[in-house]
Amino acid sequence: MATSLRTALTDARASAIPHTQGHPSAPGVWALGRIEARRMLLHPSFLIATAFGLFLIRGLAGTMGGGFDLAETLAWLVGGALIGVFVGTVLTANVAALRQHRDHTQELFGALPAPPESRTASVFVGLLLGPVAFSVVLTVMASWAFRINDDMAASMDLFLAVQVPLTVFALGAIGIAVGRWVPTLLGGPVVIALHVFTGVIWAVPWIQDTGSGIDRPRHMLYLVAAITMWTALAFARDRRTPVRFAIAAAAFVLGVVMAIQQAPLGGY
Amino acid sequence: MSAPTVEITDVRKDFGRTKALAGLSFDAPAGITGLLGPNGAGKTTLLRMAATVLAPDAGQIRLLGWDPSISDERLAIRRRLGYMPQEPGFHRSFTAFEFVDYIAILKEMTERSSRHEEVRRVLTLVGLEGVMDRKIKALSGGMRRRVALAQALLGDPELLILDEPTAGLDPEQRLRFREIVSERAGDRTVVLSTHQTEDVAALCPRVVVMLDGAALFDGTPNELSDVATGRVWLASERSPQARLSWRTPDGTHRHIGDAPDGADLVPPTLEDGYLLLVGERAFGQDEAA
Repeated sequence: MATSLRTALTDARASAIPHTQGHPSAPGVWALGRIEARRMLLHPSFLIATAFGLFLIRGLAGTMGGGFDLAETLAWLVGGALIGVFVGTVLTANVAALRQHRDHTQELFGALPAPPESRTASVFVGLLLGPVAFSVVLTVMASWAFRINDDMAASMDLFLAVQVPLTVFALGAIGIAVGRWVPTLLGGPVVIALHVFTGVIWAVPWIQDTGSGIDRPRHMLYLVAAITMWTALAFARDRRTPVRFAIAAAAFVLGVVMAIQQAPLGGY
Repeated sequence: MSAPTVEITDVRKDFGRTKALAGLSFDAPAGITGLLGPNGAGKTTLLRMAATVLAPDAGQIRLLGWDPSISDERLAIRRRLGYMPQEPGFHRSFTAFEFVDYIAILKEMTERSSRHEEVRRVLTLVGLEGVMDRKIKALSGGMRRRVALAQALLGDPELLILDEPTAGLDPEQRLRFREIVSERAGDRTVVLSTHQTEDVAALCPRVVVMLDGAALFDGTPNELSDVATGRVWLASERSPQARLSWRTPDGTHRHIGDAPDGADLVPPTLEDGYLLLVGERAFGQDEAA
């Protein structure tokens, strides 16, 4: 086994494509990002997950006996769509990051002047212009729904609103980083399963309202650290520089500390 | 004669125990250079090096006057290069237009309207104007080859590297391909590999035959044909004396090698020269073994 591993490593080294050095050009990344955004929003995994989230919440609301006013109905629907957006973002970002590997375009792209970071950066831009922008629209709709209902108005504030797009970005960054390092379509679903079924999502919530007693600055730092770590890891796949790994490691430490410190005394 | 665009000097490349290139020296000036050789001769390895996607273990490479092992110079080469790999991957869920457009952006064509115009131009050039909005997964193998050719032609590159560009193309498309490439030749440099000796005869003023990672022949197609002058025969029966022989559609047997009894000497083709050259080396190896 050691011999075959050594042979595989030797072959991989012999066939390695010498990358173009340098920074990606902003107009190029922007142009590619627009293509990626469209593809992410129209990808079946994103559409199906969003639709599934809507139906799930619709069904859940139905079991509660109905009788909701317009604001409550809208809040439920937006909430359902957002659950779908969270799941769909992980999947669609993962697929976008995997595309080059799955379609065997490395050699073709390797002979082009744009550095490999252009393609990774474009997926992140696509994530911002696609799922994150969509989540902003949903959050604005939810904010409006919360505001027109006196009972709900108190629980909506800027802190809560900002967490939604940040969470979508963080989940998309996870999908991209996993796609860059784990060359299989199972990566996305496994991330979601690990998140939900190992309880990470409940122990360290992505979104909490002010009323939960969460430490708001630390929670925001936690979200930013998660985004930074996964983004640095995604780019480290293009070029394994010490700086990229150091940023990922520092963000990981910060994220863990903030995750521990954000919880209110006695738990949520 | 102009200075060579591609200069490869004593280049070696191993993949594990396999010697892909064994001290190959090769150069290609402006114009079309065709590479012929059996499978495993090292053609693709050579073209991958000329396309900057593979580094040699030893030896020197200069492309368009630059050294691809130096980062800045590699970028300068890639800005002037069009490459069609032997097995180009495609984003199958993209349309032909979207895919070539995607590559155009990676080729630093960022201005949208001029880029789209260029994408339409190259797709039209390869005869895909009617299917540019069709997804690549719905295109035939030949159409996909043409998408690959179209992306290589983006920006009218100074150096065009084409690895088996006519594989899977129908006769009409092969003719069209020859037209496209010969129009571009002029002051540009095209290096292509193929198994189709007719393509080389029709397109390439210069041909290099490769075997076992080295150049076995370097000359014009006529010179390659001349290798077999006086050694191609037609006879009514298959002869054991011939190194290679096959039955032609009119029922006679074409022999390459020593004259069988009662055979008629015929003028050689480029394919005869190639077969004799490659076959002789192969026979020589057999005899040595």
